[in-house]
Amino acid sequence: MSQTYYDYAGSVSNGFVSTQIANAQLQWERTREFNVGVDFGLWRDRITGSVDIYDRLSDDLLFTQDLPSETGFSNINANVASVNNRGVELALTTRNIQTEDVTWTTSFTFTKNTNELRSIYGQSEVDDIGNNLFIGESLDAIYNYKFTGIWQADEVAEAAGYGMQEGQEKLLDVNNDGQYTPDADRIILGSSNPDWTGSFFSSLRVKNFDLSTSVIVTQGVLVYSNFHSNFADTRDRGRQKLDIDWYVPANDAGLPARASNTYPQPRNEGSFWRNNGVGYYKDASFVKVQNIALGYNLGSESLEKLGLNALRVYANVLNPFVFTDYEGYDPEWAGASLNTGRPSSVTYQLGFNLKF
Amino acid sequence: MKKIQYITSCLLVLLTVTSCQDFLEEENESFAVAEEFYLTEEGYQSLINANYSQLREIYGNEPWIYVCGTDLFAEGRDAEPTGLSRYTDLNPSSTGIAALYDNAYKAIQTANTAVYYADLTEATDALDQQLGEVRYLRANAYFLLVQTYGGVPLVTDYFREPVLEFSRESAENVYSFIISELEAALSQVSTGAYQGKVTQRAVNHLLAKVYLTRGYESFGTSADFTTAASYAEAAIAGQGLTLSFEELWAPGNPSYPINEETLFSVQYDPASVSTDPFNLGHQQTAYFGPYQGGSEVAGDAPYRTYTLCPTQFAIDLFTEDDARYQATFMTEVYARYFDFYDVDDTSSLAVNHYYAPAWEATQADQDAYMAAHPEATYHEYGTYVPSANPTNDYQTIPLKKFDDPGAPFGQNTSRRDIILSRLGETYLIAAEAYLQAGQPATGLTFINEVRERAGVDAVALAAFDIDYILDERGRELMGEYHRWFDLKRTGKLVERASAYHYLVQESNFDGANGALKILRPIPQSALDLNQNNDFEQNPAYQ
Repeated sequence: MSQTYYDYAGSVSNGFVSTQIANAQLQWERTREFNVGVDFGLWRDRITGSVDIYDRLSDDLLFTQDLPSETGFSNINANVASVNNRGVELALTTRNIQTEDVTWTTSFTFTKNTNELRSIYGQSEVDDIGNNLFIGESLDAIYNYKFTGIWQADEVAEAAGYGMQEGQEKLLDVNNDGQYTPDADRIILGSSNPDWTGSFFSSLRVKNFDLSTSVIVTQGVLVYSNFHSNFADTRDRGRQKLDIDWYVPANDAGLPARASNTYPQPRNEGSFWRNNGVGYYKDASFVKVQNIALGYNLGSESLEKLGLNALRVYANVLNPFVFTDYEGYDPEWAGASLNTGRPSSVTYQLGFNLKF
Repeated sequence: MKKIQYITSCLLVLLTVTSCQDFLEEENESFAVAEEFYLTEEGYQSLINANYSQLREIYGNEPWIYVCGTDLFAEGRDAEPTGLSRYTDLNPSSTGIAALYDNAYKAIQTANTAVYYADLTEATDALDQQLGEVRYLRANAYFLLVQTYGGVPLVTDYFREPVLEFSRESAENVYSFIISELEAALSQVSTGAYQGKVTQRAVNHLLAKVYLTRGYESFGTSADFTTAASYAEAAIAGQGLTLSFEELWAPGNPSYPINEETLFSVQYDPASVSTDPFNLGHQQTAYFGPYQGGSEVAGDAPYRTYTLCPTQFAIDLFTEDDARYQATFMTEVYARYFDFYDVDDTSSLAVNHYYAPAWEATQADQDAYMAAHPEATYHEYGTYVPSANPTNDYQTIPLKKFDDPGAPFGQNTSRRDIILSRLGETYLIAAEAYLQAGQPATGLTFINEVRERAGVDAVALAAFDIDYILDERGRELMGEYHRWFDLKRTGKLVERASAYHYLVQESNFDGANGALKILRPIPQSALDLNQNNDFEQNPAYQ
């Protein structure tokens, strides 16, 4: 129930009205899971690892379902969908060198998960576009027009057929009917659920020195980049913008023309750019070195002289390198709102551990 | 095998099936509260209040869809949504398309809820009247929908479970529903004076408007115009236009009492927005003029967005002797804008801006004014319009009739009632209805009543046509939320918008299938949520 405000000729008369439909049939989600796992160790645990394969089918998935405008209600909490999650998780740890002076251990992990919507509302024929529920696709599917470039000066006639002008966004005309229509030309562009993720960890000790590093990998992830929709939106004069190669048509204002296929002409963006945000989907795949640490442990003789149990001196650097084509802040948080998806900082630490 | 030792080897197969039919017996408390609350007299009244409050959702926010892209208003320094203001890239995802659709259906469902509970709630003497009020409010929402989007789904059920498929109803049937509901409400609502609740005169006024609008439709008949005229006369009920136009719009102090010519309005008493005055007020004041400064002028001048600025055509509708010109526009802005309302003797106040009218367009006029007010910025006639591409604050003329000098500074802060139906308009509806019904001489008497109050000469029968009515409506109702509907109803939208809106050409209206972009598109957000894939978009947007 939400409060409403009104008055009759100054006599205050507030009311209460429900914006949700209460769901008396709400029930628990049901999940059946099939899971095969192998843990193994070879050569005196020089090689250890695990393999997990799972297939999870969730019925009556709980979901805040937006309701059609005509109902007059905004949403309902309902058991709406059947979703299949299938995946594999691999882990491998190897002790590559194991001598008195030198030990070197590396671990790899690999995770791949695919989720697929099997049915909604008890049927598997009609998608629910408004709730982003597409039969046979990921729950995190991204559905929109596909941005393919900018209409150039020599394409004015063709652009006009689509109701577009030179310098505006060009979209994929999926059914080639010469117009952009929401039913025919919006497609699944990708998913914000990554194709796979992985990690690598290495730990090397040479005598009293130790060196460790960790790397994470996320590949095949498409996000709506709030960074770009904010810092590449030239319509908003409120803050600084990225230096982007926007389209400049031939003009007599003395500005050199600039053909671009990445950003439309400022103040002449078409409605798909402005209202559908077609230009801001970005691949946020990345490889990130999370940590490199170098340490030195004082030998036992020196420790005795100092009367200590242990002393380790170390240098540590967090987030030193990111390899990505994503141009925004931290690709790991590319899909997050700008409030949380801020730059990740590189942190340098020097320190020592002392034990008495 | 000896050298290779499996230290651990484990094969795990897990098959888990959980069944939980009786796992949880739920008591859904919120459901119970709504069910029981509306059964009481107090709860049902609160549901009726919630119905009225939907008017604030429908009319209290951006007015783009009501007045944008017409002959009277265009953007100044700030951009209006281009789809609605210029028609070229008007499409189902355009900004400002969905709000009215969503809000109208929310109002309709709130009304359906009240109709549903009317059979269940505690029987009171007020019940019949409450039901009539709700039917009026629901009919009004449908009237907005059918004018804007054409035939829309006719939803009269109260939903206790989600419904995912809706189909379009013909516009003709939507009109029939609106009319039958309003005619039923006529005998249910109060016959007393307007005090914020729907009265019989308000229903008569809306019926007149609905019949008038239907008369122009392909399924309308000339009898609709005759019926419209008689409902308009019933709404007028013999009352003359006796307030001066200035009095009609003068802000009250400290609140704004309903004046005798108001037939229906969205109520916004300051007391009813006091819990959150920066968000519960409405936006009508924040348009129709130039930006007049930011928070540094709080308390001295209103916040305006520099959009929906009156066009040259709008300004040129007025003649010197028309009292509505001074009452509609703030032609002379004092150093403190609100001093116009707050100071009794304004003769010695310093002037910041002066907008010279058409009848003061000579250099001699300017010299004379500047001699009297050397401190003023003098805006020559023809320069203070959106087509002059304004860059500075105050470069277009502000509309003053919605000013709320006591409102806190902001966009959602106005606490004046939004007038939806008033007597002056009823007269113009009667004039238009009689004209279209083939009785122009009768119609003439109604339009001349309006002109007489404004102090201008009566119009002669020879000059009295639909364009004259649209011009008169422009003068009388400038900025009130009718203009797009007026132009669409009379078939003059394309002609007038392209002639008088400097950003609109006739070709801007060309849509798909050879159709013109006159009806708005069904919002894509609504189509995407509707599981009925055969729900048709309007032809111009297919």
